Amino acid sequence: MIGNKRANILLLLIPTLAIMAFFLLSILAIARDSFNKFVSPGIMEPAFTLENYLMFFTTPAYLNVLYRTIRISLVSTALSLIIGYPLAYYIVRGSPLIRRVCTSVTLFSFLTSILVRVFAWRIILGRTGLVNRVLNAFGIPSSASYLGTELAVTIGLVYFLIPFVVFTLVGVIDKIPIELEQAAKTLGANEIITFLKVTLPLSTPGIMAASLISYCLGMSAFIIPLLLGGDQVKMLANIIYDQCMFVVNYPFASAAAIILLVISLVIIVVYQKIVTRGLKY
Amino acid sequence: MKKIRIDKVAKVFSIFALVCSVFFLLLPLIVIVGSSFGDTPYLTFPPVGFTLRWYFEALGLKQFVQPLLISIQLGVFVATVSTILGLLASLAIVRYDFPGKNLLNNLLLSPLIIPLVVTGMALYRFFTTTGMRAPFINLAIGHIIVTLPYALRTIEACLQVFDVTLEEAAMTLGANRLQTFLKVTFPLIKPGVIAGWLFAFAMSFDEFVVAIFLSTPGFVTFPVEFFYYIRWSINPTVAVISTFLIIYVLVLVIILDRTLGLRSVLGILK
Repeated sequence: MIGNKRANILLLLIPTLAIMAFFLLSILAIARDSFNKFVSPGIMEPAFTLENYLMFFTTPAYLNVLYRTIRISLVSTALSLIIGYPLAYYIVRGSPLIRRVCTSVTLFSFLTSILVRVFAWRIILGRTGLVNRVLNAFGIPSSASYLGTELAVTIGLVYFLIPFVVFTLVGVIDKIPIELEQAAKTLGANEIITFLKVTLPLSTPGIMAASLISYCLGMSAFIIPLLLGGDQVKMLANIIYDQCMFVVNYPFASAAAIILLVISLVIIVVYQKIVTRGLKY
Repeated sequence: MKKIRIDKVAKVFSIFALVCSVFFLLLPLIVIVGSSFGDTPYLTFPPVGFTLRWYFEALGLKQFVQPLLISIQLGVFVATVSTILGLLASLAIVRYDFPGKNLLNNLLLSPLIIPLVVTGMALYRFFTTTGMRAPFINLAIGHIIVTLPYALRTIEACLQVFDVTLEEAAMTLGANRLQTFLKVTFPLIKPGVIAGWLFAFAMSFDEFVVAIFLSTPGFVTFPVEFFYYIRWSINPTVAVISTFLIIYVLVLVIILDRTLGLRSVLGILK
């Protein structure tokens, strides 16, 4: 039986490991490509040069995209936390009916095709959209389109991020013993003080974790800027796609992809540190 | 007295915040469904007039038939492979202790962390440089990688609460390993397996970023075709197709609720 153990583990894991190895290999391949020299579209020369990375960090156009990506991700993260927190709180502490409604709505939004969700915002923010119709109804003439602005991309991103924030927060708020809140209230604290001094501080690990996840997802947003930002508001992922498929500059596209990957991995390492520390409180 | 009043204000405020959040989440879905009935050649909300003609027009859009079939076949294939791989791997992870288990877990969940654009581009480059030109296989590999974490987590969650003594009892009573698995283990973790399959299917069916890298002109998945359609036309048939997709999600949520319960679904997704 014991001799079997190693064989068992291997047998169970081999198929999965094979496909993951393939995946890692393909990522290593673009990491290698990122040091190659660009010759002409689709053609590169094997080399060990940093010029692709240098080009990324010295060209104002690309730096602007990087700054914009960071800015939009930060703002979206903050907003999705504010909108997601009440949902998460009531999924844990609400009455059975409220719990059910909040859970279904969050899941429903999460599972709905991202293209559909983004497209809906095009109807809301477009020239004949809901925003303009509401403004017109109040006698404010407006026929401007909000598409192609950072605002549109931010709204779309916030909408996309909320379910992730809720999932993460629910896990943490669920672990806060309700007795602590009850004790605070028995000792004379009102609802606001109880929330500010007990519930909110105890959900900090969740807020941190949710922020990092949202930020990470925001940094790699692709469809949302593509459909709501157009050519005016491109983010990092769009640059990678354009460089790979249209400009066909594989070394540069690879370098940009590796930059995005490194940013994401750093965020996740920090995230894991926080989550493991959070569990100990 | 004062405390009661503050409590009331706090309650009203927090309920108000909740209503706003729920409204924000539902608004786009309401807008989509509502605008699909509008009797204008452009999309607007609230709809002007009422007509079902966009529904008939959408059903006549031939270009979506092939991509839809491709996406369903791909989804079924990917979900089945991901579920089997996820089941095997989670058995190893939950049942055995071995060195490097943590690293393995991180590796298996890495597709959730690695930006999809990077995954898509890496696979696209790999397939083109190695001359692998079978789009179905390429897309399937991409989607198995992306959906595996969901299948794995769902089944893992079920296995973790599984009572191993039931298996021991079956084996003591003379069942062999296969019999034990088929008659005891599998029936008990079936809800997790079904939900894992559904998640993998839903993720593959909706996946766009990897698919746009790996689709070829003659072989396009439904989300990619839909993307090209909404990029160039903005007439109400788009809202009709979106409404169909929303109905599909509604069915999905109901099935997930029946198999796993919505609350455990949340736990898996975090």
